[in-house]
Amino acid sequence: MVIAVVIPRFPLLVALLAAKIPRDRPVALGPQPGDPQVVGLCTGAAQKHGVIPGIRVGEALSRCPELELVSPDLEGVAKASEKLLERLEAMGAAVEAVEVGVACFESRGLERLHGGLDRLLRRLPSALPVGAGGRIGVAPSRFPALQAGREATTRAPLVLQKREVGHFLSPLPVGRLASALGRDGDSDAESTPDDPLDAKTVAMLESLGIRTLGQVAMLPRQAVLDRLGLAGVRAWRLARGEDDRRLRPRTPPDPIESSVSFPEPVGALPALQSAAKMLIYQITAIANARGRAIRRVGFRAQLADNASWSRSLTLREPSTDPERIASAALPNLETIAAPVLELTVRADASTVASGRQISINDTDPGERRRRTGEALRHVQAAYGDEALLRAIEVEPHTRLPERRWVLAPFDI
Amino acid sequence: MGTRTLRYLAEPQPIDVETDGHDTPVAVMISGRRHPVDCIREEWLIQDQWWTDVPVAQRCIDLVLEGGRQLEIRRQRHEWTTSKKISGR
Repeated sequence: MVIAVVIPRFPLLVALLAAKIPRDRPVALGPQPGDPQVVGLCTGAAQKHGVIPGIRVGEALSRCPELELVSPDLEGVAKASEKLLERLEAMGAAVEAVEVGVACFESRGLERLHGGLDRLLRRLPSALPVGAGGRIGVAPSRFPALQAGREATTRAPLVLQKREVGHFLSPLPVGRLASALGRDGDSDAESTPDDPLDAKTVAMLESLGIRTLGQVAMLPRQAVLDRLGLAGVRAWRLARGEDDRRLRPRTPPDPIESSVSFPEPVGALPALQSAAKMLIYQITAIANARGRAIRRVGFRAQLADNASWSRSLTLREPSTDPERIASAALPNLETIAAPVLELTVRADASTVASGRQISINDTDPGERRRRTGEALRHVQAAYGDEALLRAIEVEPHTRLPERRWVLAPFDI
Repeated sequence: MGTRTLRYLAEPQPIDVETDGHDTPVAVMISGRRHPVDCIREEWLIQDQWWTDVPVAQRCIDLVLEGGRQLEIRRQRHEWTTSKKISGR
């Protein structure tokens, strides 16, 4: 069985906790500096007044004049999410982090460890943050388990047997296929590589009158394949409760952290870049000393206006070369929109420096495209837009050789 | 993101060409060195874009330099160009 843990509105809960605001007040996440002026996740009290994620701040305030906006605490969310995963891993689970506040894991090994599924499910709430409204779903595979986690109440886990899955999924909205979590109504939500359909396809299905997973499951497979391709067939199979995707448990990170506090807020980019470079040199030295290589690097900044900023990047190959990491990471600092009080660099050094091996198995095309895209983004980040160009044949029959091909910007 | 423009893949590069009294190339300058022309393999005229404000009328010459190197040069009005990336040897 797969166990899914879902904590709804996790980033909002973290922000409420940081701002010491009760959950029953009408509150919404405000926009981050430089972002579009729309509200993010909101409390139930705010939703009762008609505030929904994605509407403009002005409209939200006119619908609910007593609405309070809180700044998203990205640093706090990352820490809280990591803590949740660590507590699940401390129970012995090999956890796949689906997104912040959502994780799933196989129960098979744990059942023996804890004396059966019932005992495991009784102990599991103790690993979840108190008062966060964590929900637990259990099903034979990943997609139904995530949906069960979303539909469960905070009082008891929702356990689905194999024969119950189809009946359970049938009334759920088709939007759940655009996001494994079913972030319905959250216009900011982006689909992930695991989501079989994009929001546009879901809208198209809804315009055709297909509004539930049950209706998707009733469609002929051939028709789905013809109209929506292989992604559609995957969605069709998920709607029938057939999810053969194995969980991808994460390797527990081996974090290295280094930070610098400024006596006064610093807004000058060269100063921030120098500080970040110094921190990168420090963390690579620590990683080297441990015989480890760095795979992921995250930057967090505490801003002068009480907001925080964070960016993370995954290197194509684990590295301990500070210059290489700096060239990939430093351009990200340009997006900091306010003076910085404290800058932190956190790296995951869970890769053994000498143990990097290529895979024998051929990776699937989607994974190859994702990796290639990631590598290209690194090149663009390091060397600018002009570093990657696409040659396009524009006048194949011209007598002037130089007019046959042009170099156009390469958009990833 | 700023404005991004297209550019041609093989923009012609200016090249210094030494000619005789009949406007026939006798040497080209590559990286500051004079390379005498051994022979002219072919010569032709390209007339294109005549319907635009910037018509193209180019005299193209495919020549061989002493030492065996082949080079195609073109002349439009009084300027000599080549599409090849040129460098000294």
